Amino acid sequence: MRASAIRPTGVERTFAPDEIIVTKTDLKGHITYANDVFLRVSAYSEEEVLGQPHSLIRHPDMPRCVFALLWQEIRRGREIFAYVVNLAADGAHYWVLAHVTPSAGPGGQIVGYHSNRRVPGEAALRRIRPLYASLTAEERRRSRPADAVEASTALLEGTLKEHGMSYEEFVWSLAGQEAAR
Amino acid sequence: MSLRPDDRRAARTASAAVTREALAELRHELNRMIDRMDAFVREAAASLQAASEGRFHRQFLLEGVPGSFRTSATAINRARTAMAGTADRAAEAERARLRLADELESTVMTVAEQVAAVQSAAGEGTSTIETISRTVCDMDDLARGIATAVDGGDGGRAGRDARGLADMAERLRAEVSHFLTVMRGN
Repeated sequence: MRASAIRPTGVERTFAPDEIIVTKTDLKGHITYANDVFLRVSAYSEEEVLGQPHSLIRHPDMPRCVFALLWQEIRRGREIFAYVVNLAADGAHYWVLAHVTPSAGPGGQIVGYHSNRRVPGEAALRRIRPLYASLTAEERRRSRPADAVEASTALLEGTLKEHGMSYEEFVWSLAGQEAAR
Repeated sequence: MSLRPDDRRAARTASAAVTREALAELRHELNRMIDRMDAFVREAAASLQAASEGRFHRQFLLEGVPGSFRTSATAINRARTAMAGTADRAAEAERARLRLADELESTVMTVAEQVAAVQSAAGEGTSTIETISRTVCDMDDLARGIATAVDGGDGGRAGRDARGLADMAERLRAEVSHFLTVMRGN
């Protein structure tokens, strides 16, 4: 897949505050739907993304522990908000505030996942960028992915404990500024 | 005048391209509408669920929510803020009620100890002691009434009746005043 060959160019891309990026996946995280805003911002065509794993747009500066937490929450049927930097097909990157929720079938069982992404506020990103940099640095000190996730999760939990907040409270201490805008 | 075959083919191709483009745009428009409705329903359900669990920090994000969806989302946020305020006031009232119950218990205990000491010092069989005993019984009844009301032990009826509590407290104050007068021998 061409995602593995994409090198980040450092070019940042964004989208309008009144737009939302939407993707839907199956239970394994393979993309089943992508809206036009996603296709424009990620620089992929619809044919290129349908059926592909959502990790297609994973940016190397994105801590694995955040994705681990995300999967843990949505598999339990809970929603989660997360600041995420994604990698576009042309090497550009774009920040989003992702709201990921499970989609339930008629019997209430989880049949897939749904992600709405909004453009994040700059004040929130000023807090997130250094945090993610420290988390990815911690992960790069480990050779095995499982060890990397364990180490960065411990660092994230320690940082949150220092601030006396849960992950949810931390994200909302930043996202609350978006709601007030 | 009729078109040449090449011109007819070109016209058909151009027409088909325009139709495809229009259909693609129509599909995007439909998807945008569905996406916005889907986003609104998910956000509304999740933000209200969070509020019902006391997680008032979870707001309805207004970014990407246009028009009447935004108006409704703003109303949900206002309701969440009001619920948070009510929860804060209820928690403060509970703390105040517990403080008041503690203080009342402490006061009643102190008065009871003092009365017991006076009874012991004065001996038995005098009219003053009978008056003191009656007064102390009245005070005790009133204090128990107030404590029950404050603790909500009467099913919360008196607890909700601030005037009733104030009346009982005033009667207790009058009884204490009377008790002190008797004690002074005036």
